[in-house]
Amino acid sequence: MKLLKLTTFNFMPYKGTMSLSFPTSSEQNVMLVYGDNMRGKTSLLNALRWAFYGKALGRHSRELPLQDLINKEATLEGDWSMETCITFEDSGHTYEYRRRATKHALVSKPSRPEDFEVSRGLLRDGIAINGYMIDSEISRFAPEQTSRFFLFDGELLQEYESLLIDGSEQGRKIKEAIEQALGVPTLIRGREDAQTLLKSAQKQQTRDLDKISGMERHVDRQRALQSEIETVERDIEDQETQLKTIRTDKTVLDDFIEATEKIHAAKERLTTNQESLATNAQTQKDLEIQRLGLMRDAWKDLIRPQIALKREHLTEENNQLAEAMIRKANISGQIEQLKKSLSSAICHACGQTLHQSQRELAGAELGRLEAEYLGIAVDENARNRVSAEIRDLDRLLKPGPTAQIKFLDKELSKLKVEQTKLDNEIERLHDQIKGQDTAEIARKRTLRDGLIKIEGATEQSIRASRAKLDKNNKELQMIAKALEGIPTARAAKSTQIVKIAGELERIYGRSIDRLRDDLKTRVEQFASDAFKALTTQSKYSGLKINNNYGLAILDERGHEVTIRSAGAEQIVALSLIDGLARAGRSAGPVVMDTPFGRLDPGHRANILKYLPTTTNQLILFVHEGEVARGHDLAQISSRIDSVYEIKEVSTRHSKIEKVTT
Amino acid sequence: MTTDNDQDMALAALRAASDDVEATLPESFIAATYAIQRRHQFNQDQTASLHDLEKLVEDHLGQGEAR
Repeated sequence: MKLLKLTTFNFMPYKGTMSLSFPTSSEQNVMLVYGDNMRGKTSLLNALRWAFYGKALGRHSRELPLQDLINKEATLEGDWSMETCITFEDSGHTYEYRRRATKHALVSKPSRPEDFEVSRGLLRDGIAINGYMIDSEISRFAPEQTSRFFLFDGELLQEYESLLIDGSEQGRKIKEAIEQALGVPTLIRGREDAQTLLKSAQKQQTRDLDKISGMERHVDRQRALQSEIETVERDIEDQETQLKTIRTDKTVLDDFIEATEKIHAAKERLTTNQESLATNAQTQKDLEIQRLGLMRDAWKDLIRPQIALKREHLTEENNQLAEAMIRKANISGQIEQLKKSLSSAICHACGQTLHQSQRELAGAELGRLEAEYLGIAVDENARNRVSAEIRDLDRLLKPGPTAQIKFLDKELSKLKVEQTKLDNEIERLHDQIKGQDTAEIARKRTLRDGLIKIEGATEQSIRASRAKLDKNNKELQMIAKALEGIPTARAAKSTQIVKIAGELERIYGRSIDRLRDDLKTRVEQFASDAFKALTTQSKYSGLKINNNYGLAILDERGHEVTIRSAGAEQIVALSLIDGLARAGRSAGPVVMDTPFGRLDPGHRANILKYLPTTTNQLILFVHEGEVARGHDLAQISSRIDSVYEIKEVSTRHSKIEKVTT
Repeated sequence: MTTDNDQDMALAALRAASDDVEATLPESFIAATYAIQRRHQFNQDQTASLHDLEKLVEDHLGQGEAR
């Protein structure tokens, strides 16, 4: 298929008529539309989606309501009509697919999709195709189930990472889309049809054999198994419906939770802060009590300097008394020695005889010492009193409570500052959640958690029911085989249909596993080729696929690279998409919205060089930061057919202008 | 964007699976059942494909009786 032209009227920011012509040359097959954020790049992708499938997607791939798709400025002027028209060619035919929405005549201001009348028409070579055939005709060129791989939202590239995580809901959805793109559902539906045919034939067989004598045992068991299978199938159907409802409810709750995340976080912080405030108040109270206790002895610290001074004086006095006592004792000893020397006329120090002159000198010294001795007054009582006073003062001088009080004061001061901060934060948080139903937010969060548990239990229950179903079907197969050996039974037409349908079911069942294995090998090869062309890291040797079609990067030794950058993720995702495109379908257009967000110039250059070679049309909606008009475009100038630019007329009105051809 | 692929891997897998299970059904018949599924692959309702399959089986049995 080749896109030729897109024309819109009042679609999103494009007020009035907007027209884009796509590249038709196989050599110059690249088209770029430049636009800043919020100007309408994604709206162009949505214009194509709405043109083909009657739906436009917003964040998280949620469908946007119809009333939000009509240009706001036009609606303010009273024009509530919108139209898209996509022209394309395939297999030598030219198609024109037009879709139009207008408000119902009786509705004054539409507020829901039901307020609109939507009509569509498909022309093939100018001839109208019947309405009931439009969907199957469009599915031949651009099946909606695989549209994510050619109408490509760059912001969703990160979703592909979930394929590496077993059991991820997002991964499951992408895997389904991948298998759809690769044709697996065709075989699954074939098996389902064979199963339905088999069941109906088995029932007929039971009725037919009922009429033949000798078949009672087989018939009874067959009937019992059929009845049991029907019950289990109904159970599975109910459980799957329940699971679908749970998942839908969970998605709605997830959206609500995401939208109210800030309020919830504010409420959580408020609760934490209120608890901290209560703890702060209690700590302050405890510290005040402790401080009061310490204040009882605080007077000691007030007179501490005077006591210290007094003690200093007493110590000095004590020292003087001690020195006097020592001096007196020394003099007393000397007096005793001199007295002995004089009475014996022999020197007590050297044992020599003292001459008269020496005795006279000794006598004079004795007299001086006796006089000094008498002059030294030693008051024992005074010394005891001074020592006792020093001891008393020492008791008073032990470390007082002031230091502790100071510490407590500092702590209390800190707590008061913290209290003020908490008060202010609590007030701010109260303002933030004012008017919000936080109880409802809490209820829905708990409900979501509950749904996750029920989802797990339901999945387990479905697995158990399927196992039971398999067991019963196997037994039915054995009975069918046994009946084929009985001539009277074999002759019945129903038995022959059972045989054919049973065989078909086995073939289709086996083929699904085979196809999945073949596809994985093929996608891995194509994606690895693409990856090697796109990556700037020469040491990477390729990609390895898992059961979910998730791709791991292999290093030069063939080992998985466990830590991948956001840019590497994007390259892997692009490689997967290219691999899928090449494994599952013939080349067609690829429309990409903001695909280069996280990529460096080297990777951008590789992609711009590679993708035009694997698609027949490459249409890129980009901003200047992703693809530089000068340098980046120069590298693929020979491939470029046209460049457009989205211009802002007003906040609600954009227009597209062709820049170069 | 079309799903026509010269190397139809699904049909190839079906043929290989037919060998795996040692099917007695003719290859042309199996290919015809696959053509039905291809034709109706994007229809939400499987009534049409089932109806076509039933008819194919009836025709196949009819051919057997005729022989």
